[in-house]
Amino acid sequence: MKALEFNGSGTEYFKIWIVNILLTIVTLGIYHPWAKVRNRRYFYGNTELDNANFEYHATGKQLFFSYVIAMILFLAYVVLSQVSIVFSVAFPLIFIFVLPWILWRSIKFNLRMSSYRNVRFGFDGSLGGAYATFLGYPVGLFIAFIIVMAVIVGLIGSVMGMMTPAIILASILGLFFYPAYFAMINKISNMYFINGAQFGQGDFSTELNFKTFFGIAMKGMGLGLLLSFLAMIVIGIIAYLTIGLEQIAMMGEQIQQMEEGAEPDGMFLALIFGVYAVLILVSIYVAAYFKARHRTYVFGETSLDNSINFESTLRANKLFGIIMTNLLLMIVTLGLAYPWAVVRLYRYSIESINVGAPDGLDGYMSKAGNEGALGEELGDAFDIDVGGIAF
Amino acid sequence: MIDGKLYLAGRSDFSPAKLYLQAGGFQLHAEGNHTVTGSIDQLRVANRLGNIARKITLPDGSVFETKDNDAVDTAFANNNQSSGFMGFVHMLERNMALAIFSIFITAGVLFASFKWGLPAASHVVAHALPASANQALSGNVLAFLDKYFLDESQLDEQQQEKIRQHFIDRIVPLYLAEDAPEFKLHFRLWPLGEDGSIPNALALPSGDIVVTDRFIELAQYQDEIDIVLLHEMGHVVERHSLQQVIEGSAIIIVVSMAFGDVSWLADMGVGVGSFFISSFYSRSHETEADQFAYEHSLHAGINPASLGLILTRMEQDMLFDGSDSSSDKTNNKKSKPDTEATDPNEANDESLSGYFSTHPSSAERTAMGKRFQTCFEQGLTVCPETNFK
Repeated sequence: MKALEFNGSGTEYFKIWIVNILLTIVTLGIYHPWAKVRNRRYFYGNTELDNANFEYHATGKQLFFSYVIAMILFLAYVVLSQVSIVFSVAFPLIFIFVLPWILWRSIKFNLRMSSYRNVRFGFDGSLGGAYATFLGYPVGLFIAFIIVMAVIVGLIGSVMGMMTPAIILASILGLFFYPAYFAMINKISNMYFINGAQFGQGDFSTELNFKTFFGIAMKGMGLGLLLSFLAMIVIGIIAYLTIGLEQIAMMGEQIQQMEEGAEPDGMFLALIFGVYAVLILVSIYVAAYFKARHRTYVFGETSLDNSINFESTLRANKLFGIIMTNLLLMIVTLGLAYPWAVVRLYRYSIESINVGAPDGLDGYMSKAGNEGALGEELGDAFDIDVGGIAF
Repeated sequence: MIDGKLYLAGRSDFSPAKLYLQAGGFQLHAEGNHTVTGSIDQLRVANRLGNIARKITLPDGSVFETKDNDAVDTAFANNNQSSGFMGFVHMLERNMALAIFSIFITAGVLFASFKWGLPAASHVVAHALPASANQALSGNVLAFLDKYFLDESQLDEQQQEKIRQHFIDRIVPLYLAEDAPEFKLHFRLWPLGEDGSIPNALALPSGDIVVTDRFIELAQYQDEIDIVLLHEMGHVVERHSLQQVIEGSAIIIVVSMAFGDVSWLADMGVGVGSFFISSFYSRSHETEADQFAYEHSLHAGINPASLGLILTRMEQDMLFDGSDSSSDKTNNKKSKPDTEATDPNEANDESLSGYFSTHPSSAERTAMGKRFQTCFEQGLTVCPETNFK
């Protein structure tokens, strides 16, 4: 197995980044698609496997048209939703129904515009599959859950007259619903994406099961609860030692007084800040845990043409360490450290990917076909990530 | 001579290759394969980016790839393709001094456009839009407020009618522009807690002005009601709601473009940033509405000091009402205003600036209040900027 390498540097990227921002401002935003292309090209071009690099091929001109459409839609949405409450609800609803199409186009376009060793990637997942993955399952499962809950409470509770057991049963189901939902969506979206992806004439394939994802979701949730609980105990002890029991008991009153404009107590503010900081830290850690575990599992089950294998060595602790130091760096430098932070994070997530190709990668050939860029930029302007996919 | 590798069109296998360029022509030798020759104009050279491998596409679609970027730059220096706009961009990117310079330009431009550009632009745009755009904003806002926040007024009909008639006869005619909306006065009770209520006055872009019962109770002189109503009319006339919509939209778009790649950062940026910026803008809107109120108050012989007095009283009423929930409310309400009764005509500097001085950034508002107060005492109906003590 060989590891991917990243040859970019924060300093070099810093210059590209700042010039991108400058030109985007000077051109009143028109340069944005070209800036995006340069960004992508830099990261793809510096990513190497076996002494050959990846490449991003889209041009600014290609992205420009859909960027303009996306901006007009976005502007219309922002302005109109401030004006009309009805519109601000209706627009996202309509958008949800268009979203799978946008995501589908976006995946297709982005893969087709990427290459390794002169051979393009591709995607042949169906539009129907996109609707099932990004709309059918997420919404359907949720509706199914609500129906089940209603039936339990309605049938067992009201009709059969056993309200207490019905509520207990419903609560237990509710507790398991979130991790189960999360696991199912992850399984479906990863399988849709990977099984549709191609490298030249070669097909990626994977078979993922719900049980493993559910196990990861339960462990992650447990971890989050445990960490929050421990942190709260520590904060509680510190609060007890520094501001005393009486003050803690008066917390509710203090909050009310602050809302009415009273000067807040320093210690009290520190306590509130501490609680928030801990919750944010825990949620970042849990997110890192999910990312690491998902990638290890999904990569391990993925192959290209059943001959080329993948492996992820991403570790939650190290990922968490990088995210935290990045966050600190950005705060200290008022955001100027952004390019270095991005490069560090990208480097780690790339260099923790191993590829095993016992028969080499010769013999792959690009497939013909062209895609418009509309979906891709629409997704970008509305700030959509293809959620849950492990890459 | 440039060292690299040659990929045949669309294929992943490659062979080491060398590219020779001279006198407008090229020669490419691929190991164990073939030799291609042609004119240098037939080659498509990718523009340079950092030090990523450079691609040169041949007429037949095969690709020569090299890491020797500098050699490519030198060899194609006389060829138009490698210069052009992207060549200029690369020149910017190579230069650290320029990059650092860019930080300052970027920061300067952003600062200037948020401080002056955006307010000016939104002012122009808001006034250029037809009055119907402004009115569209009001939509069902009053119905919405009635449903969730406001109750019917408890003031007796006669008092309401008296205030309304005074407003229509005396205050509305002070502003007689062509585009003036039809001003209407609405009385409402804004309940707070079990038996408290909030003193407030607010204006909708349509010209509907809502005053709460508690505000009327707190006002001790007709001048105080009048000047607050003028202040609210100022918000309507200056189209502040529309400006806020424009400013808010612009901020959201700029922030989400700058941090587009990191969504969590964008969320944080939009939240925190737009809070600070919009409170900055709304302060300048308050100042503008003050100015409108002061200017028109001089014409009508309304004492400008009334604004500071009533606003102070309203704020203290809110603080007093909320923090001391255990004591007897009705008693408080009766006794409190009395302790503060100050005839606006006897107002001194201290009471005038009372409200504004508790809001540290409002030095400008205080200064303006004092300026108009001076003019009022001198019996002027127009108060020039220079008339500063």
